[in-house]
Amino acid sequence: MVDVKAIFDWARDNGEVKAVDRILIKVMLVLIRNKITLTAAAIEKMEARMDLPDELYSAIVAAAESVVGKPVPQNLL
Amino acid sequence: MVDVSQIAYDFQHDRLVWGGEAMIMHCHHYNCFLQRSIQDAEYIDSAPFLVGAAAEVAYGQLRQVLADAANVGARKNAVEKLYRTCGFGLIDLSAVTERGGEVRTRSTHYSTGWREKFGRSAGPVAFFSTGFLAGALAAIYGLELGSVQAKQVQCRSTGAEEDVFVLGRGASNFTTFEPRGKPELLPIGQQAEPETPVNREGITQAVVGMPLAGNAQGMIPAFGVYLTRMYADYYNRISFAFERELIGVSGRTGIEVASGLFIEAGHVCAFNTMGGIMTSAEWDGLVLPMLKTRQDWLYGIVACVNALGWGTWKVLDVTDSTATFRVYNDYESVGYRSMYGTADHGISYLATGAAAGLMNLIYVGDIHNKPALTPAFYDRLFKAPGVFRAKMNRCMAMGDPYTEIRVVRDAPALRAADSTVTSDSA
Repeated sequence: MVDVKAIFDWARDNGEVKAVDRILIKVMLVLIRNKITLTAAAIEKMEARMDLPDELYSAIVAAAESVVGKPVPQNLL
Repeated sequence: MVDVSQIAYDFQHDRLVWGGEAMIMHCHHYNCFLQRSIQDAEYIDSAPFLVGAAAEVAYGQLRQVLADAANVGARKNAVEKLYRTCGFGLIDLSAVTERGGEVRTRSTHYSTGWREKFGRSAGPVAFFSTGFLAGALAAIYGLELGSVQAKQVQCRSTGAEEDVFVLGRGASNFTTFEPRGKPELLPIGQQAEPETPVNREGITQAVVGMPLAGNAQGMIPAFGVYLTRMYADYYNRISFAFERELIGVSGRTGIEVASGLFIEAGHVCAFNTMGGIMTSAEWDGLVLPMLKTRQDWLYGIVACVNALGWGTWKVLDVTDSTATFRVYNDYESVGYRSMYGTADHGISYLATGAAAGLMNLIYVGDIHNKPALTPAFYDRLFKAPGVFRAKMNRCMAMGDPYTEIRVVRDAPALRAADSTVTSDSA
């Protein structure tokens, strides 16, 4: 289990206005497969770290990089 | 008849109906953003309904528009002219026969718009034109829509020299939808809007009368964007078909995720098209002399909105931190009801996003100072704290008599926004 809150924060800070929504829509199937419900509003309110399964973490990183258009910084991975 | 200037605008309902299809104005920013939002869900096969939605509206309209054309040549000419007039680009149908054929062009709204907005694409993006051509083939030759096929095999957005579309016969390779019902329009409420020196009706009439038609390249460059005179039910079909697919995948969470992106598309629309209008020479000449306050700016731009075919917008109240918009017969609701009946959730996404966008432009972005409409400015208006957010309180698609949007500034204003416009330019 790894933390993805930092990835969403990075995407929000460096990407377009709805970067988090775009990431969520891209990874929705993986979320469902892992029986996880996640919305942009929930992520926004979340203050603590968010640990998710490896498969979902990888999908979120790939989606974030696609949406923002650059690699996620190494210190966040 | 293929001259849009000869089509009477329905000022009572603020609609333009051409060949049975409601036609509305939107720009390449909105068109491409909306399509990209749909394509982001790569696990949903959206191409069939993106193409099918265009085929549906083009076929429906062209069967009416071409009814009086004398022969195949006249029908082809009429289709080419209509396509160019609406700002969709240029097409030459001379190589198309009843069996299909190839259409090659260097001017397509979506290919050009996508390249300008997002840069080079990984694959073809002109699904609308693909579907339009399928509908045109069927309408020109009197074929069933389900008996034609269409595919885009080259796209300028990918770096190709031309857009190339291949038309053929056989069971359709795109979605064919259940027929739509007759659009139902509800009466416009007669409640008074706030007093203003702005001549709302005069502005709407003047904008309707502007010669916004495709140029020699089949494009409508105006207000810093490429406009299209698009089918309302194209947007409706692709949005609602996508939303239903997403609900099938993820249940009600799909509504929340899709609505966020569709409302964002409304922000994109307001920022680019309405921002472009409010910083244009046409605005300065026609509207600016009537404007004294920020409220007046809102009344002025809403009068322009009422010339776009989106339904009848009214501003019931507006302050520096709130506004209430009431929309009669918003095109999203009218389309939804004709396609799917009564909605169980609000679906007037464009209206919601556009309402917030207008308030942000006027009260946060000081549009009267004519700022450059850059991505950085967009981020400031929609990403920063203290901006306006909109909530859809009522929706005609749900059975309400109108759609109502309440817009509220979501935190104490970063600075006091004086109601009086005092910039150098106003």
